[in-house]
Amino acid sequence: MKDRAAAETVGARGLPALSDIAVPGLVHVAHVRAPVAGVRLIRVVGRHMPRGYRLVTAEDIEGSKCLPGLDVSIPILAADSISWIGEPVALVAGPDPDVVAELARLATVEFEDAGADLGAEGTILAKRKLVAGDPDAALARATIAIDDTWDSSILEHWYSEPQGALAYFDYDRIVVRAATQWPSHVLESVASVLGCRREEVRVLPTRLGIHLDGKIWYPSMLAAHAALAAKACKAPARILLTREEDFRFTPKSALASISLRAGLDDDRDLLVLDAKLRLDMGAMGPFAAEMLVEAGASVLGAYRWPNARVDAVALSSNGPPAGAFAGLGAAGVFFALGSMMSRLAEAIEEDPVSFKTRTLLGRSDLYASGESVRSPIPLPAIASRAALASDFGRKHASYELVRKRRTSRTDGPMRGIGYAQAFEADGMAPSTEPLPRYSLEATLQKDLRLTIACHGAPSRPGPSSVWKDEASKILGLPVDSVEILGPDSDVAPPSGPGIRSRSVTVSGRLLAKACTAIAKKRFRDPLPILVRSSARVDRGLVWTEDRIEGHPFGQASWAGAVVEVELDLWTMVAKPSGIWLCVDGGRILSPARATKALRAAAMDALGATMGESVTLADGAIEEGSYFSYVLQSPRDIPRIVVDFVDPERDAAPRGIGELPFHCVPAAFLSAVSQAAGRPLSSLPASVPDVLAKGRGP
Amino acid sequence: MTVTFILNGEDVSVRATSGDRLVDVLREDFGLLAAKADCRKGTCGKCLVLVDGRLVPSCMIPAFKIKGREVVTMEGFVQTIEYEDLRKGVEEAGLETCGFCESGLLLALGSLLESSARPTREEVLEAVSSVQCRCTDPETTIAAALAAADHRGRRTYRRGRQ
Repeated sequence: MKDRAAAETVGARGLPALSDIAVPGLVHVAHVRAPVAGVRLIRVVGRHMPRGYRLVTAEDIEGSKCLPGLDVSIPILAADSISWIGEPVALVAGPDPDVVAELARLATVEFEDAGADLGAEGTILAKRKLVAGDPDAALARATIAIDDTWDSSILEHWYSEPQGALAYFDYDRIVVRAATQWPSHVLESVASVLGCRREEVRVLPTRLGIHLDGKIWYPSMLAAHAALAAKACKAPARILLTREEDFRFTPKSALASISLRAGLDDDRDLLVLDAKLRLDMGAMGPFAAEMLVEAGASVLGAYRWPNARVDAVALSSNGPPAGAFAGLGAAGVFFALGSMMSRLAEAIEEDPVSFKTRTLLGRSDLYASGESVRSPIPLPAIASRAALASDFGRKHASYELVRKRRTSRTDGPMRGIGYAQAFEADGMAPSTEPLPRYSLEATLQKDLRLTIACHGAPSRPGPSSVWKDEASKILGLPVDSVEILGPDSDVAPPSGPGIRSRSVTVSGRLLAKACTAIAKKRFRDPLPILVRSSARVDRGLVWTEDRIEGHPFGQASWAGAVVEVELDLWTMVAKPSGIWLCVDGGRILSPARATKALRAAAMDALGATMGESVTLADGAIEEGSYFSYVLQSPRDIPRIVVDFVDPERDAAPRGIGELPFHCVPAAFLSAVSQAAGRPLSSLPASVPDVLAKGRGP
Repeated sequence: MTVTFILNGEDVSVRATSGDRLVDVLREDFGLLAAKADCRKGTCGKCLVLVDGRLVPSCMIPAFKIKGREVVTMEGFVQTIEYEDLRKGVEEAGLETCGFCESGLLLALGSLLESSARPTREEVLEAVSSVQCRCTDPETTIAAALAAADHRGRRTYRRGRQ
């Protein structure tokens, strides 16, 4: 029986944190994890379980043994084969968390070598190819060419709260609590693993915090684990990973390797791009196709390539599963494109801003799919504002002169400045069919309170106030009378995953649509008035294995970033001294809040560029790397100036949260390359490493 | 063993084993949930509390070590007049956190304002560097701290005049 009255509202404190929820009689759950990968699982042998403790394996699953609704098969618990080191093979549940952890540690995983047939490593999960014009002939006649490979490292999402889930029975239903970007998928997963009806499951999401798109599908797996343990122990069960477990065994950003060959013609215009992309998706790659399309489209940027070839492949490996990480793979590619464009500008001794704006697609130009862009690309205006604010032209020219005159490393300051531009597309085709539907329900109650229920509703009071302001503006109601209900599955209609700023781009539009519909009915129909608005994600760019149509710019937001750095004369470590970010994101609902969000994202992007990285050893994240992984300190962050292009205009709001990840790394890399006098092509950007390889100044 | 200490201005006692950490005692025995047990290695700053006026990560403090000490958590700090200054500063600057690091961040700022009436930008950044979170924007944090320092300065000036 659905309980709409008991829905939580996103009040002054936001939704509760998972770790703060107290449930009497709770049992704790720990994973028994695979010690090796690429083997056949024989069985899991647990030590004698004390009274009240249970070992749960794949054999105890009555329903589906894999997560539903994804384009790859992800086992809830490993049953036959083990794909990666750390894969959950069994659960231990019981009342004392220390005993549970010890029992999980003492359990033995018996396995046998499966030979080559289970070697998941190197399997192609998705591939996309594009050829426009004649790239080989164009490369042969290019007068200036750049040929290099750019590599990005694995990044940790470092969520506000580690991943986890809580499950308990409430009469004839099971209630699941988890911090998730996709509550509908949690519901489907729990119903499917328990073999029960959807109506018998209720999902009450907890506070998400900062997730960087790392809580899309993994919470569904943990929710399934908690539900299995609750059923086995007949008690509420909570699984909450320790920070170290979360660091070592949950999704990370995909490892990207981008090989680019680009050439200019006699008129110094872009002639050809030949790109080879390799994404390492780890052992499981849900969203591999979507990420590949995102990466493939990003590598072309918004530039006019008369000849282009993109050969993109997503491969599996025996590493931990790869996550979306702020932009579904685009961030790992934009840095390569931005850096390569800077090198082309340098090769023809042209100002990078001027080169990067004059080579953009025009309104009548055709995208690589053969489709015209139609609406103008706003990057020239963005570039000009960012360059003006940062005094880019003067600084770039003078740093170039200083660098050329430098005779030794200690001969004056080593400074550099870089510019990069990028877009954040929303119109990509998701890899799942049918396309996910997003829905929102708004009800104007008899007492003139407006209640809004949506899975994409913000879980924090700050962002939810933007929704309240917007709704109250449309309906002319006091802000206090607008209530945002928590994304409770009993009240919020099912929706697709809340990725790529879709709480702004999709849910925000649904909110405006629903409120406008209520405004029309308000004095005509009796109260309460309930309106449900729904939409599917637009297919801006469709890129399958055999066809490509459209372009990704229809609902894109745009940004340009300038980063200025100075190298320490002795350590050669780069220290950023300023960041200027100019953004066109349609109408900005709350400029103050958007500025803060962009600054925080720029800080994270800088962290990813300067030092945050995880290393794999024999397919697993090294144990010690948890202790050395440190987020970027506020002390190392320069002033970040954020500027919006016409934020008040009457245009639909667009997602902007990932833009700093798309353009700050490339701008930083270009700046460091200028300061060091040598090209850098890997993230994190390390001049000492380049020196050690003999490529330094 | 039984550990007696002062918690948010009240004498309290708790039974603790040698392995219990202060953060667990606060959360499980006293239901004070503002401090979060996150990294458990003393670096994330989400479990910060004041012990005898000093900011410490409560995940690194064995519970028996607080015998006879004074512990102030966020729940106790919000009852103080100093918090009122900070709250006003935070509101004026529009500082919003993810909610998980809020206790550590505000206690770090409160502790800074206790030691420095007019903190510099660098001092604010140094103070909040003890809290590792992706959610906060340094400029807004600095603005909040400086606004709170203004409120505190005005309040103490008025009290001095009276």
